[in-house]
Amino acid sequence: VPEPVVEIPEGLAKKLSVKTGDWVKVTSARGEVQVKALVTPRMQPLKVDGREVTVVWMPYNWGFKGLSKGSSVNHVTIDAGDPGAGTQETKACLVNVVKMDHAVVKTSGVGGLRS
Amino acid sequence: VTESASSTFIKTTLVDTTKCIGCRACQVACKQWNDREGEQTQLQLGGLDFQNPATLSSNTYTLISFHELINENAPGGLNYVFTMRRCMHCLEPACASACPTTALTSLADGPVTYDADKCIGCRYCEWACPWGVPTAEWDSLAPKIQKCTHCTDRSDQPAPLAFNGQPLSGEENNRFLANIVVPACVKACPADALRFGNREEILSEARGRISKHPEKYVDHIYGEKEAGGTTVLYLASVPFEKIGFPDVGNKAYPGFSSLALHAVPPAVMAVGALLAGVYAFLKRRASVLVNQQVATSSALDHPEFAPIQTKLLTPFNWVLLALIVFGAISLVARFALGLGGSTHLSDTYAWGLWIVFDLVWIAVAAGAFATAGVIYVFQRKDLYSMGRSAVLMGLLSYSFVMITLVADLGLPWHFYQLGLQAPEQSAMFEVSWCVGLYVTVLLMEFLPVPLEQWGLKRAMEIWQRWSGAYVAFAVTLFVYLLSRNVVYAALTAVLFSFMAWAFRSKGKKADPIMLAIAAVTLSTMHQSSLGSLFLLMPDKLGPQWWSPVMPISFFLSSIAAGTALIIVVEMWIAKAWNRQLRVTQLAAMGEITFWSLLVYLVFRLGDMVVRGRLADAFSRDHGMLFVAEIILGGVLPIALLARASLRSRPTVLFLGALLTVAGVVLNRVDVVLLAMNLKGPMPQIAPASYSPTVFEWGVSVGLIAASIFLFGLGVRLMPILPKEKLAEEY
Repeated sequence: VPEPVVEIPEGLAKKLSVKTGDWVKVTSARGEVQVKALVTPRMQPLKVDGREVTVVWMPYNWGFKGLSKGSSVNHVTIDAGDPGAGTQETKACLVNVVKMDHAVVKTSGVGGLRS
Repeated sequence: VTESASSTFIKTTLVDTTKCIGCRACQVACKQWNDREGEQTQLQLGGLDFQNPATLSSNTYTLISFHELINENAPGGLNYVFTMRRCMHCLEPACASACPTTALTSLADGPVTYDADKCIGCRYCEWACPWGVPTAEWDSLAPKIQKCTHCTDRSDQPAPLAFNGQPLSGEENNRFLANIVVPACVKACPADALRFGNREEILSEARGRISKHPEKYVDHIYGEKEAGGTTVLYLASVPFEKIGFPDVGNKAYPGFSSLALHAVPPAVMAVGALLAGVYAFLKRRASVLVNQQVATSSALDHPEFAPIQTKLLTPFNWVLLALIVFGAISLVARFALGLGGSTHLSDTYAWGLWIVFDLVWIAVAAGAFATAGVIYVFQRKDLYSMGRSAVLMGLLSYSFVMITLVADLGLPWHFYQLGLQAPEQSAMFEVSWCVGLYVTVLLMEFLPVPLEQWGLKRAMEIWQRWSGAYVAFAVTLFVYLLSRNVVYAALTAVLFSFMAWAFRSKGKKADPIMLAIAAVTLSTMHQSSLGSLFLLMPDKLGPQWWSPVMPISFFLSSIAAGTALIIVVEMWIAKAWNRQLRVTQLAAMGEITFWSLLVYLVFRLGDMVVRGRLADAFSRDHGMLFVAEIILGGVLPIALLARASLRSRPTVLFLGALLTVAGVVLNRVDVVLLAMNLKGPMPQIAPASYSPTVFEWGVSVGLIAASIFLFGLGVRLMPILPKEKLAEEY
């Protein structure tokens, strides 16, 4: 994938009236990123404890430097590591996805929001 | 691998798409081995998801295309198919048969390779390939073609003689062959989706997989028979049309144009002999007639020519000069900025306005050979007064077509390769040589005019003595280059030398009959071969235009357009310079236009009827273009020019001729651009659009202006137009 994206299931995309290529803002308690949406039938809701839970997915391979710059999903995910192995604590977290009218593309700098 | 085994070994890669996991390791390995630059790309829209980039390009020889297919029985309701897209390495490749310099060659053991030193950058391969594989380096000032070479540079490396000081055991040698000598993509594949080997073994492996797991595979090995067979073969779990593999038919593409091109050398001899026969017969009949009734009409037959005496720098010519400057700037920009920087050409529209312009101009410049043939071969001396202006128009037109070609070629400085290489059957090669030689014949035809003007008697004598010999030489050279057959060449040399001897000038006023015969012969060949160029594109050109006999349609229509343009220009000259309108001669020319247009239209429509293409010709895609061509540019001018009484009315004649020209011009524009269903580079999902840049227009418009201006200059300096009779004399 040439740039960061958030994969969005078709149902959610319909609700947000977002189509592939539209800019969206993905926010969590820790931070936010602006990325393009990739609407796909691959992402299907999970059944957790009898409730339907919508899932979105993001790859994390971008940063502020190099040929392929872009928002890093690390701003959104949980900032914690496994004390034994040093691996990031989890690859799943709670986020909100909002459609954007205009992209405010960050060209450089992390600008990490921590709260 | 022993010598005898390697001679039957056809290097083949099997792509089992059911095993591909879409990791794109092959894509990366290909880039690394072939040293291709990375491309900054964006998220691909249009359901391509993770496919990236969308298509092949000069930096991407290999691509994994992603396909998401709805299947209710599959987990998640979806099937994923990943397919490797790259050169298919046909056993009989269209690209190599198209190449005029054998820069693209099919090796005996399968791979289709490219030699940039031979390439002139004509990009014919890009349009010839039914899969859209060859791509050009549009960003480069010296744009080469790029494509997969099946890693010939890997597979040809010999096994090392020793490893760690020890000679290689048989097993180690086999391991080397299995792991190193394979293409980079095959070596990189972690999922065993790619296998490399001999075509026969690979085919039986593929058949074995299908028969062992009929539930897993569709019973089709894509590439086994497609386009005559390829050396990249595919297996899939779904029908191939669902994952974007076009149905290209089972016929090998070179076969579409081979008949037309192999007919050229014998046709040269046949046309030459036929013209000589007609000339000899008509000449004898004419001399009998002259003996019976003393020549009375010689004054009419051979009118005096004189330079016209009008001011050169008229407002109109100032406009032309401005356009010429615009053209010159565009030409400089073309070479300063490169093809990619100065044009909107792309891997989809590898050909554009300039090729349209060449095709149109060569068609309408057919008046030169038609007039020469009619005047000298068919002894229509009543049309003699139009001969010189027709030849000058032809000479200027063809010269400027050559300049356009130099601008259009990516690597024009490799032009000499056309003289060194011997392609087996390339319409582009035929056209290049035929047009080149015809320009020299046009120059020879025109030479007497300046020689006469400036009284160069000695040069005139040399011209009279040697022009016949030159024709024999040029035609023989042409036949040899096309056939590479000494017997054909010798027969041609004997035939044309005999003709030159038989028709040698005996009197003072000799006909340039040999030049006229050469003009008609060479023109017949290249006018038709311009149609042959498009025989390789049955998959792209609309069915109302593509036909196996398209070469003949091109030839016939060129006569109609060429003679019609002579009428238009002659009437324009008469109007602009206030000269007499030679209605009788123009109407006679109009009759020739009428018959050639009628023959062309009947031939073209008859062919469509025979092949069952006419029924839906109007309702299909581009039906309106077809209607316009046939009705406005065909039936209507035929009706206007049909009767002598109508032809003699200048307005009707002008309108009829203009419509004829317009119809043939539209035909060429349709064939090159409007009726071409271009799909772009592999996997043919993202065709680019095309609108010419200001520089593309500049070169074309500038050269048209230059030819009109130089024609005007020529008739002022040299005796090209007939001397005007004074009013009282008239």
